[in-house]
Amino acid sequence: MSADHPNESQLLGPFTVRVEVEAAEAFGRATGGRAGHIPFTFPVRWLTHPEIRAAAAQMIGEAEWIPIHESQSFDVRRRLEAAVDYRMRIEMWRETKPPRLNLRAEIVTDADELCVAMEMILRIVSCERSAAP
Amino acid sequence: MNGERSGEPPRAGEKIPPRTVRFELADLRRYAEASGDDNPVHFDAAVARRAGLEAPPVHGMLLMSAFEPALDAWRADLALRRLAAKFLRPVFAGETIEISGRVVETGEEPYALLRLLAHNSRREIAVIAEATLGKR
Repeated sequence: MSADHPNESQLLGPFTVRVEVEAAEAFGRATGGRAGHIPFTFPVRWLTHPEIRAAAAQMIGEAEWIPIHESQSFDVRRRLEAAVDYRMRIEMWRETKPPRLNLRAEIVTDADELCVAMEMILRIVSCERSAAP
Repeated sequence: MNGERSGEPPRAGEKIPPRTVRFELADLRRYAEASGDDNPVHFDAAVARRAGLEAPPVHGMLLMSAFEPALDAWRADLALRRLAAKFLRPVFAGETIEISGRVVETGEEPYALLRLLAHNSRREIAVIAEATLGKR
């Protein structure tokens, strides 16, 4: 994972992630997926890891902000299996004009084989600014 | 699943059967719990207004996730390999969304690249996406 963008990025992880069957089923029920199948978009759940959230808040550096999802991608090179540990590495960087937070995640096996690459772009709405007259 | 087409290579120009979906506030809460995405903009009208929205919007990921069942219903013999989406306009709880798509490119394996759309109830494109499918 290497930066190819002008803004300073932060690397996070690796985090150990795992598809728990119950969590995948709950995600599938919530998104209309079929039973007994790991939903394609399930890995997005791992981006809510507290350490990632804390790093995002620090990078944004504002007291009150609202993230609005602008775009998302999933590139699956190898299907994830339930009850197997994977490692997830994150690269995160900020844009200011317009204000955005970018996350790029790679989920790899213990042997460092790439399984899933995800990219997320969040538009950051500052509540302090938006509350001003 | 469209059994007649199963096993045959997808054809450029082929359309997936359109389908409608609708997410109520309870669905948003269920998705938040299942995904861990508890952003209050999806539940709190005041927070949504502060973000410039007229009402709490459906999670973009909930809309994006609705493409997979639509693709499965079209060709269960093909599996998603890549899915990329841009969230262009909000969809609000209780709105009916129409999902549609068309094959724009095919290749060996079989392989298909599809352009997918989700229209909101105002007939605006809310989500535009690209999906790559291959043999399951």
